[in-house]
Amino acid sequence: MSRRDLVVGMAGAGGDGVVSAGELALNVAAQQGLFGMLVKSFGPQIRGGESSIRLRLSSEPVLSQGDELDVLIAFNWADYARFRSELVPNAQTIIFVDEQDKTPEADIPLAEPLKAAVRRIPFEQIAVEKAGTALAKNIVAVGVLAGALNLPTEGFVKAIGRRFAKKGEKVVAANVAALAAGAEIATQYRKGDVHLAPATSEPMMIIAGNDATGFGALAAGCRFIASYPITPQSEVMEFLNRELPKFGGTMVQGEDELASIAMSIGASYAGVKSMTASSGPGISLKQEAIGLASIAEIPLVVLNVQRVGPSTGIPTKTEQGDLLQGIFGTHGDASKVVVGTTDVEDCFWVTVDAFNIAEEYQTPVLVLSDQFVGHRTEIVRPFDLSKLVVRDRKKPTDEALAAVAHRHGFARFAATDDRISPMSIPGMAGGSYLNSGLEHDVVGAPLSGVAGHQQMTEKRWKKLDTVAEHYPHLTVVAGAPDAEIGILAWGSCKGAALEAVAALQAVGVKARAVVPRLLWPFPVAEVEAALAGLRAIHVVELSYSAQFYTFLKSQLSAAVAARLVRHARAGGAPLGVDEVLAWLGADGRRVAAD
Amino acid sequence: MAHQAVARLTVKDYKADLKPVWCPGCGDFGVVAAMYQALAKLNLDPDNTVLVSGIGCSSRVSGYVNTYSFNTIHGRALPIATGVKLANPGLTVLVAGGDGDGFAIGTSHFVHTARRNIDISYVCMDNGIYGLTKGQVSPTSPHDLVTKTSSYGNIEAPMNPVLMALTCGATFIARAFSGDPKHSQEIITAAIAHRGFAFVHMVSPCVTYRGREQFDIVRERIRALPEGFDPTNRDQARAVAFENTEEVISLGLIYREERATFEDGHDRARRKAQARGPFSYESILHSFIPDHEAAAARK
Repeated sequence: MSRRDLVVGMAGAGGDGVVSAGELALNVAAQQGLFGMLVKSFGPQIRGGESSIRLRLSSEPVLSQGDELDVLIAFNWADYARFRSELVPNAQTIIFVDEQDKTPEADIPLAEPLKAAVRRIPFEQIAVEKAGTALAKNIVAVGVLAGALNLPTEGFVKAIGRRFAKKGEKVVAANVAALAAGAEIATQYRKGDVHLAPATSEPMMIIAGNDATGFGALAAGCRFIASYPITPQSEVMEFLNRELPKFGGTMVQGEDELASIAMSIGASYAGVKSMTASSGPGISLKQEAIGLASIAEIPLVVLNVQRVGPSTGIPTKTEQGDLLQGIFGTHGDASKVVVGTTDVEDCFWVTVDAFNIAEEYQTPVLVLSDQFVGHRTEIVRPFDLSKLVVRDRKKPTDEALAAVAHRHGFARFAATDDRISPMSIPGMAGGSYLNSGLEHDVVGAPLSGVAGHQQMTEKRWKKLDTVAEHYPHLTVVAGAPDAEIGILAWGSCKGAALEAVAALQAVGVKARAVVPRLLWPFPVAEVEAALAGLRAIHVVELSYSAQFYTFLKSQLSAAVAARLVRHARAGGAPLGVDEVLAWLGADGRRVAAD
Repeated sequence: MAHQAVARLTVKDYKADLKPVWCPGCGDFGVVAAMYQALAKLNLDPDNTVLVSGIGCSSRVSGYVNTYSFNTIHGRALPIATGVKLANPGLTVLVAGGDGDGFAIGTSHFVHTARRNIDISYVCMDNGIYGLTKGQVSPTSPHDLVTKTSSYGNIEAPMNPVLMALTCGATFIARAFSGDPKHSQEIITAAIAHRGFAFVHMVSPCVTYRGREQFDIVRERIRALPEGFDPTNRDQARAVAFENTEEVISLGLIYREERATFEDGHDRARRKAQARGPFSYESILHSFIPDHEAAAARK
């Protein structure tokens, strides 16, 4: 058997080192030129609770978390049971459990036929024998993984050397011995080799989605963020808290979500590229201020790392339930732009686009990320920073400022061809004006007439008409140009959609995936062109009420909308490839081939 | 027109063309007049000054002053001003608003802005009523006051803004009365000149919903701080802060201290961060490549 990728699941109690074992394996894979994805999942405890990982490694860029487990390691069945719906083994999976686990057979949380296939390994005993501490059992587990999958151990040995270097040679040797013992004992359970050919000899990058978002913001020129801690966003503000001061920027932890967006609006008004970040509950609180940024025409990036809702929901799990809130959530006819990130690398580039759009159009831009993208770690090719393009807001010329007739008379909201007015910044001589959340005229003076309100609303909406045209790369299209079956997805469902298309193509079914990353104003022409020729367009999403499908129905022309097929479920776990194939009427890959 | 070389400016230079929406006799006229005078006295460059306000009758003031001004949303003037000041510490940043804006919907921001000691000045025009929405009870309305939303008398105890400012760590706390524009001007001038968060509790009667007699009631209660009062003495300040304003309204500089500002703190963080530099986007990228140095060496 020669596979191009492998998927490993591991679960244990706090202190079992499940996450650090996964990180170690990911680290080794990156240095061997492989691609990978590490998805962590935790119990509700603040610290020290049960945890699990799902690790997928491949010779090709990893699109999704993968469906079938090649190996499952459970340090005990009770902790595994909490993750059984996320880590599902099948008849081909090599299953290991710690010998010390005393769960009666009837209570083992596996399907009956799989119970007989479980291999009992003395993880803890080997750790104590070889490394002198039970803490090394995760290293034994990594060894078991290498042995069972016939992975070369040199990389792991090097990684252990680096990781324990500070603790001295003795500790390094002990851990290497623990790894070797694990590898040796697992060799007998090997089921064919997995040959993961390195994709590249270039160094690879390991980065989590939320760090990539923070990095994207920084690279786009963001120098101010005010945010309030909230799962699963906090890593973004933590990243910028560390990095912004190095570049002369500022991070403030606001007293609440309202203060955070307000500070960000103030900073941008004063000329500094700014953002605020949150998740659903916090975004609900920020909505009023998003309206202020809209009417006051202030560039602002608002990040929503979506989680399961409503209310507190399930903070550590993913969902796509904030799409319509993002687009329509603000009171009044608030004009704004909404974009969606689809994978870890996208977190960087789409955030850059978001800042560029905010600046170019002087508008709030919502970035919809989600827990699945934000919290997962991927091995990717290093971002090509030579492709970085940074845009700045339109400012008045010196001549225009010199021509202002009197103080407070700068026409901040002047009519222009593209409906984007030059924005003066406090400190600019001659640029003073009244900005206001009240409807206002060209100089910012309050107005309450119908005609004026119509005119200014039209200005704020029509200036966005060219976003789709200026950012055409935001619509992702993959698959066959002559396909009849299509999958339409947004956000983190992209991975499963693309992989489903590849699976269909592999068995001779022509398919195409379309993933708009610009969600509002919706790029109707671009998306309809991408959907051309498709007989059935399967809309897949993690929203029980099918928000994306509902939204598409309202945007696409009747002829295209009639071909949409609705596939939606509540979030809680990322969308799986098998799930998409099943939704398409193909009962998994095999039937799709028929 | 260029304002770069600012000549001696007068009140006229700060007065905007927009006509105030306030009722005839409103206390806020006295406050804006005092503001013009304070700005002129300090000869502040209008192009380097930002006036931020929230929502309420008094918050309309941002339209009447010739600086960069921003009439924002209810309760959020202080954090918006915080963002402005952090973005450009060289700006003079003023905030104006009312008791509903500052001590109802925006209370938490008052607490934290004072605590941070950011160098902005906050003039809160307290009329003890919601005027813009036409006469509802406010957080500083006296006990038993009958309003449209306290038909049988206000059953809540009023908030004490000065005591709150003291508790929250404001480094400049003063009280003025809009019926005395000269004293108000002196207090606002001192507040702007203070380095740190300056709070001015501006008693500014609402003639429409509290009655024209409100000016007389306040005049009967006001008194200057006693001879020899020391605003740097916490105990003396506390005694004034605990006064019952239904009986006595002390005017003047109640408390003042010198303390590092929020901007100072951010400067310090930047210096600490940059000491480990230099940094570039490439150096951040490399920090995500395991064993980057070894990989680079191999190449």
